[in-house]
Amino acid sequence: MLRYFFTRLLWFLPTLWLISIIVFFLAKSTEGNSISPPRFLENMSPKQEAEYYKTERQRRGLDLPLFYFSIYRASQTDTAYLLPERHKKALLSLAYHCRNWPKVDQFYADLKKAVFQEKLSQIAFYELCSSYDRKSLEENSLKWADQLSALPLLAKDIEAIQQSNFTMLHNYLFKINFHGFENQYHLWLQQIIDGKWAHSSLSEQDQNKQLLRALIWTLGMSLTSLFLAFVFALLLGIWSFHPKWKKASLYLEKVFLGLYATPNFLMATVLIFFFASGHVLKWLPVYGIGEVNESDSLFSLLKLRIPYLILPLICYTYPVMAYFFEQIRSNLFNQLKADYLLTAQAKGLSFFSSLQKHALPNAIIPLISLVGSSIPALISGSFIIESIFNLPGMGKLSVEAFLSRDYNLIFTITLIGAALTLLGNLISDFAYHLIDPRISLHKTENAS
Amino acid sequence: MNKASKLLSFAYLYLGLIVIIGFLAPVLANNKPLIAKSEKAWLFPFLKEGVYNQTDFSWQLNAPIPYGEGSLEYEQSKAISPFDNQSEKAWNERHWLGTDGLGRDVLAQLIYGCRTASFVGFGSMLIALLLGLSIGGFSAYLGDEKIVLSWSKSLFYISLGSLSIIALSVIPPYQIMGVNHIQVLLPILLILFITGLLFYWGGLLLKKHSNKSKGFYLPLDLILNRIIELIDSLPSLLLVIALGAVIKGGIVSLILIIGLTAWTGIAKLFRAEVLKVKSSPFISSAIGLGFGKSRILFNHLLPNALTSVVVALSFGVSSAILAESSLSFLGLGIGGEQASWGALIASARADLDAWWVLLFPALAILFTLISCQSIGKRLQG
Repeated sequence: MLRYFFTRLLWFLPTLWLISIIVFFLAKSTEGNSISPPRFLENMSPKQEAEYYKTERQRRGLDLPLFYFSIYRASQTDTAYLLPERHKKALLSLAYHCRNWPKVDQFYADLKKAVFQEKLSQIAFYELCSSYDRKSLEENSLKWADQLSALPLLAKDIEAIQQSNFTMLHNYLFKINFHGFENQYHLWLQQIIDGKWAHSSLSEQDQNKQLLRALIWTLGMSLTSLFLAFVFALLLGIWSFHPKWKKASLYLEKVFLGLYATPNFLMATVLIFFFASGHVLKWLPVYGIGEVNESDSLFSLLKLRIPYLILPLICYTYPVMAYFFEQIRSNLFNQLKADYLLTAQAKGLSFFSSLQKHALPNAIIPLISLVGSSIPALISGSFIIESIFNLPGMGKLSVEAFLSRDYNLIFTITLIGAALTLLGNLISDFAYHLIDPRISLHKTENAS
Repeated sequence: MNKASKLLSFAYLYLGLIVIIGFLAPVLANNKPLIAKSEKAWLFPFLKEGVYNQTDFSWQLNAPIPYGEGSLEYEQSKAISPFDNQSEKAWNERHWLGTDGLGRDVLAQLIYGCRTASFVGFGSMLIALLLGLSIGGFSAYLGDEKIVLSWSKSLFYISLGSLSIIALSVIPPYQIMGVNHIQVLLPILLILFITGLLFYWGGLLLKKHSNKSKGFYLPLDLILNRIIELIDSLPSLLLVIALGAVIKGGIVSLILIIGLTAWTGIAKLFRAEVLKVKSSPFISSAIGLGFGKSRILFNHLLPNALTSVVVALSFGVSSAILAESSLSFLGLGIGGEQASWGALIASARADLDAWWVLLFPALAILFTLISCQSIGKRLQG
């Protein structure tokens, strides 16, 4: 058994690392990672603009290559991250169609030099930069031929591009370039491990405190609701088999079917409508977590916080409770056919007693593994519930990050969520095998 | 008919109704006329996109509900209840279910929400089915010990694979402008076809010359299972939001994203089922009787393994609709003009006085999800 645990633990870190790579590349594909033009663009000369981009890139660490190595076509370049967004697409297309990056690079460098020295007008610069194949390059160079006639170097570059005769093969072969440890992925990973998770204006201490607080809130609510759901589902599940409650249990089953199908935002809105807004009742506060002083005792802290937490807890708990209830009932139904129940009843136990004492422990075992796999569902639920009730948890943080385009934070939280899920699965698997030693640990992967 | 099957037939009926209403939504609720006759010709304005301005028709047939998806009620500034006095309107212009705070008709929004829900629900499950069945099926059917590779064989396959990757590099990167994409599609299909043929013939050739005692088993099941576990371990809503930040766009990209996050559940289930069925006695007796591989596969394996996939499908449709409504509720979904039940509920939250904006989409979502899940439970049973 120890060997199984050890191998599972060994798989945990590489899986997390692979997930971090996937998450990183997802993060880099979003728009938020390119440098947006500054607001005062119109008053900037191209030279100032280039300076701005350079300093911004250095500040955000975007002047490093993306990964430890890069694979790129022979006619393109792996330094594309250094090009400004506006010109990148066109220049790369030009390199693709003419199959020659060094000449296009030279052309771009000379263009920049010319426009910095104000020998070329800005409009001509932008139009020439946006030519994307031979035809458009020719059109643009004809359009601005009068300005180009004063710049023989540029004209020579354009001619060199037009006449480059590399074959189509250059578009289809790939080159690999190794960059070592100085790359954005390594930096990102280091930042996450060091604990610097967000680029907000707070100091580092405050950021960490904020994120830790968010993590504690989300985990605390999720685990509390998991515990409550388990206990209630267990109680209701076993009592629905009592002979006196047969009729009521049918209705209970239908009610839970309806509950399971209710989306949690719908339940939250309905609960707010009924219990918190003034329309029907006003027993509970609508949102927030209540204001407390640091020096209050634990009892008064609880007394103040609990009214705010009742509705969110209900919203977290009811889907998990409904799911567990169904599972317990179906497991108990399967156990009903077993022989040992008949034996126990023959020996004198009542039906319900035998169910409670013997069948229930057997029925709960599959639920342990379900507890671990409910954690992703709870994390997904926390997005909506925390946004509605304004709880300072990780869900609300990531929704805010999405709406304010702080994509780095979203992907960091994705990574944390994935790590928590993997951990939850690991713990529930361990608990499963700990509780029931009969389960074989070998490769019988029929029961997924 | 006992009560349970009555519930089931109601569930099927309701889902069919949602799909049909969704399909016919532009015909049922549109602020442009359906058929219009000007002096020159017959026109069908409801098919044309964009703002509609012409009013000089000799005869026109309007949609039953003359409000489109985003048509606002300009004179009002507050939501209109269905019980309000709407006498200044014509009989068919009455807001039967009221309007929301911006003046959009709730019934029209519900109808277009049916369309969004059915597209997203069934579309994403189609994608999830395709991916999940193929990967899960390969993983389970081929198992760990079916594919025998000797060093020469693996060398051959690796070189063929790299040649096909190089050949596929004919696809220009998506950043390149000025490429006629249709021009590129035909060579890609040709290359894929030729590569497939080469793999197949190469496999046949190598099998003749292979020596089974020399070689190692390719643990396909292990690899694919690890990959499935990897992707399955990510929380789904998080992944949908994260992918939504990457793939911009409307309903099609949402369908793609939800499908790409839902396939792992189906893959896991299908793999477990195929493994279970593969070791059952009737399959081994079929093999012993000498049935061919595809006969066993299609006549015996798949029908038994697909039963639980159908169950997963119905639950998957309900969770896809749930995901889409949750995203629209948060404001991260389709957005814009396109209506969705989740967006309606979100606008109800802003003004809780307007109970009609909350009640009707809530009932719609509730009944849809309950129907999907009762069908799923019944098929499980």
